[in-house]
Amino acid sequence: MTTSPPAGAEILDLIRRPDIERSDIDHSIAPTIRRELESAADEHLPLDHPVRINKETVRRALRCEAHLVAHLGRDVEPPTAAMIRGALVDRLFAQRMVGFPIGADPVSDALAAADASDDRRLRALWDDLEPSEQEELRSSVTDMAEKLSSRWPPLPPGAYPRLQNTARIELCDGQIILSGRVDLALGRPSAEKVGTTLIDVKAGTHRLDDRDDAGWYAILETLRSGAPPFQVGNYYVPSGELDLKPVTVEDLQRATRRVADAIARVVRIAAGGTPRRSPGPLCPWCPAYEACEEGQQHIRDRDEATGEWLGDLDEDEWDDEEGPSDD
Amino acid sequence: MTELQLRPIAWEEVLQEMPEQVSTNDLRRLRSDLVEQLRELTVGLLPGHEVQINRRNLRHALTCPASAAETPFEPNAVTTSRALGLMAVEAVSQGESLPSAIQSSVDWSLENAHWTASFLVEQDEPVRAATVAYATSWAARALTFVPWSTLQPVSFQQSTIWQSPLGYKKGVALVARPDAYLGRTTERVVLSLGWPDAKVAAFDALVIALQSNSAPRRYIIGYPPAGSVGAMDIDSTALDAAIADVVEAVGALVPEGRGEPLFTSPGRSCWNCDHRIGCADGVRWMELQPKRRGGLLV
Repeated sequence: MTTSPPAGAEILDLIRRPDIERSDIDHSIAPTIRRELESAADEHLPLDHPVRINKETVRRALRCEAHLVAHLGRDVEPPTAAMIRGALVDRLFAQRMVGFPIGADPVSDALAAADASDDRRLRALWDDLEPSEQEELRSSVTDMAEKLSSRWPPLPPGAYPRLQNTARIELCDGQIILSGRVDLALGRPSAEKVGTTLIDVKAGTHRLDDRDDAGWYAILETLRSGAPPFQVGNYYVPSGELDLKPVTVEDLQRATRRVADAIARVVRIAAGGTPRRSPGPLCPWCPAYEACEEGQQHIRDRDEATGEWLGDLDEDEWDDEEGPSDD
Repeated sequence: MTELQLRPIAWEEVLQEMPEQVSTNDLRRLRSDLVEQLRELTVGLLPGHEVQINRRNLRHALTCPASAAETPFEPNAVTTSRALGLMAVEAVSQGESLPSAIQSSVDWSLENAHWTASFLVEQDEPVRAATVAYATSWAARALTFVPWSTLQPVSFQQSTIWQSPLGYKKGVALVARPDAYLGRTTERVVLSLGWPDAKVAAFDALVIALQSNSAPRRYIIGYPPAGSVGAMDIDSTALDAAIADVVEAVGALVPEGRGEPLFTSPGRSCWNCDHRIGCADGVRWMELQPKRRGGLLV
């Protein structure tokens, strides 16, 4: 069964969630999270240079420390068409959030908005695309612009929309800097109750990491404001899904453990430790794969196991052809 | 030399336990010290040249004068959104809704030829939308971060404060940019939203003191991305340190006013310097540094 995506007042209801009572702010949570994150780094401090950690760093450090270092070391690759599409859609989303209609040529609108914001890079990237790539992007961005226009309602006056909301949290006297920028922050806590909703806008589909990223933003917001957010999640423009989840203490604890684990890894590497290798199914996409014996071995082992399993499957199928047993 | 520092403070303490105000006599002495030193420094300036010190170039002038080289000021998305946003914050505090307050700010700026008007005029709809989005976000951050209602009375400072210690167009202009004054007039607590830089706090306090003949008692800098609030109690020591910074900064930038090049002092600030592409010393310094990303060696 398919359900139509939320639109208009339904979107506002999902953000406000009048059916859920706002929880009381536990003012001990932020200091507790800070303590836990700082103690994760303790063993390897002081550093001779501060480290900056964002959601990508966390993701890569947890996947494989060698992958993180290899990724940092490679030349910066030009953004993909999907990334350019995401940047264009972000611009249109901002336009929509402050009540402006999106015009008939959304790509031009988005590029003009980027120019006016001194973001010359987006136009340069667009100009570098092949005409066929431009055509394809124009088509998908126009489709998403129409969806945004038809689904997103004007925000109420008390929404206080903060677009591209930045957080920059210093830990351990500035030796560790956590940073992030969520596409949209709405509402605010009262003196007693949580109230902020954080939304990241996606021009693509669900990814496994999206939920972890939401946890990362929840941690940053809690450390920044002293109050956990009310809800955190993602808005998927193509499907129209608004995937928001009220933040619980358990969510924050889980996210804190994850970030603490990443901090411990990054700080150990920054202090001169050898990056550990954690081979996995994504190894072939790692910039260090060609030189990584563990990664290659892992993939060989996996391929062999798959081959054996397929072999068993073939035999099963052969058996099946003999028909059901009379037993 | 005193190292200026901001101390963390809770919003509810901002108007509590106020320090003594710097006396009129002390202020007179400070002004006289500053004027004397600036007079010596500015001998030989080209006619009409004025060394301008503001929060943007102060730190640059003190670290690498070439990085503070004069660039013509043009309103852009960042400066305009802050100006419009601050107007909107004031309007919201008087009961207007945020969207309407932003629209009123834009309309007022255009009608009154405010300095932001040159950026706003002739904007088509998508560009205006981007400007409104930035300004709305600035105002929304300020409204959700600062507990304005507990800091009353609040007096918003919608324009920069200029002070020419040697006289109007006489070689040096100091420009402060506070956002608001908090509490009773006699207390004069200054609020600024931005990067927490103790030198900026002392500098702004000095300019305000010279301009109004009355030193603020405390300077507060709130930095929404970190959720941090820092305070500096303004005493003679802080103002003395600010004068030392101003004298050093003017001294570093004066060669430009004599038609001479500014010297370079490459260092960590090179990474974020607007002039880094054309700066041979800076490029050489950066090439010699170990390559890092996110602080990790690569």
